[in-house]
Amino acid sequence: MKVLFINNNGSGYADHVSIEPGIAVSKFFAQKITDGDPSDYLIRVNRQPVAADYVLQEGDRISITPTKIEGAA
Amino acid sequence: MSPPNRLLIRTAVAIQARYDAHANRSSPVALPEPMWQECVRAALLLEYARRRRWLFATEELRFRVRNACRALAHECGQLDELLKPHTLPQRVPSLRDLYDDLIALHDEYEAVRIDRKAEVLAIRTDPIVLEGIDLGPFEIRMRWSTLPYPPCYSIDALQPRRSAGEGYTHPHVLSERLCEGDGRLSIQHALADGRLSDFFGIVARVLETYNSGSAYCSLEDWEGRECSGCGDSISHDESCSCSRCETVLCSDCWERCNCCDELFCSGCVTPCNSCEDVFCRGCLNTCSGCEGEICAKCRQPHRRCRNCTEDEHSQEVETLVDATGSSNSGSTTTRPAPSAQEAGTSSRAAAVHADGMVQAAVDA
Repeated sequence: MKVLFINNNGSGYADHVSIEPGIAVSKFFAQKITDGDPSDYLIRVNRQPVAADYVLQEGDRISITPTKIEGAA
Repeated sequence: MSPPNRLLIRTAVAIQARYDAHANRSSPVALPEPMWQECVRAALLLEYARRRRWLFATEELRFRVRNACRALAHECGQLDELLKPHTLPQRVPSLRDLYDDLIALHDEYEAVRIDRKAEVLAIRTDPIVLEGIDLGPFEIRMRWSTLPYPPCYSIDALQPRRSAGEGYTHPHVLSERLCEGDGRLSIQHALADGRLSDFFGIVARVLETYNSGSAYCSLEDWEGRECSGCGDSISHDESCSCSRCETVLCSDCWERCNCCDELFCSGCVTPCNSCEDVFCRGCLNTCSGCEGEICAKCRQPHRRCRNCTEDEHSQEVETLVDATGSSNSGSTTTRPAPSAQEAGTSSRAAAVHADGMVQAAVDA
């Protein structure tokens, strides 16, 4: 099944990705952000915060945004 | 349908119209044809001059070809920048997505402001506290008339707590422009895709993060330093420390020692008793006569100040006058005649310091 994955970490791209049915948000996060701690990110599904064990559904929109993004001068 | 939702729909329609207009805008690609023609013309002339072995003309035309090629490259570079994919939206966001984003913004932020006339969508952040410094809430203000280009938004401090000196409202904001740093690409993509809630979220995260390595004003110096002289708050760059007691001073309150050139507070400098210029204590001497503070320039022989030296001379002159007066008009004076030794001393003094007064006294 496919979900819309919006990765606001780094380059910030949005793309439809194929995932296994029944996958939880926490597992999806671990697959996509390999060296990240979930507590350092805002993870939303369909623009709403969800629990780590939320099971993704077909057509979901999941966005991952770092809580800390460093500006510059 | 409740009025707020109607407003959101109208806003979503207006924003979508902007994306649509941008995506379908008629933008004829103007190739730099005149520059290319100039390159061809100059190259032909150069070849002609070479065949004729016109050395001077060959050099001139080589220069002309190079200039033409540079102009062509410049035009091509500008065209390339114009056509770069990241400056163009990949798609026109759906009305549903825009509407859902507007709803999400209302859910996430307490204050969302929509001004359809000014074509402004703005959210108000919570008060932002960085390293213990409360910078107050900010308004992230997006003008959808200029979407999807990144300069389409500004950052306005609603209750600014400005930095000392330059008066920045945020370590990463200059003149209402956010220096996006690590968030630059994700902000660009969010704007290009019409992901409004992501855009506001990323900008808010940048505002909530402090990068000490690259800030317009470091938070350490945000409050500035208090001048111990006038009590004003000054930035680190504008301040200096007293070389003796190390108190913080502003440029209006420090004093410079006229001898060693170091900076001091007013309590650590003293005016010279003679010239009244200020000096630090290390550059002043104590007069052996009056024990006043004197600078090196004003110091006279025997470590005396000018006043004491002049007083000493005056006393010597008076003594000489007395001695001379006694010897020349003994019948008219009531003073006792000086001893031979005193008279001899006065004579020597007169010989050494023969000024007008002494001469006048002697003449009399």
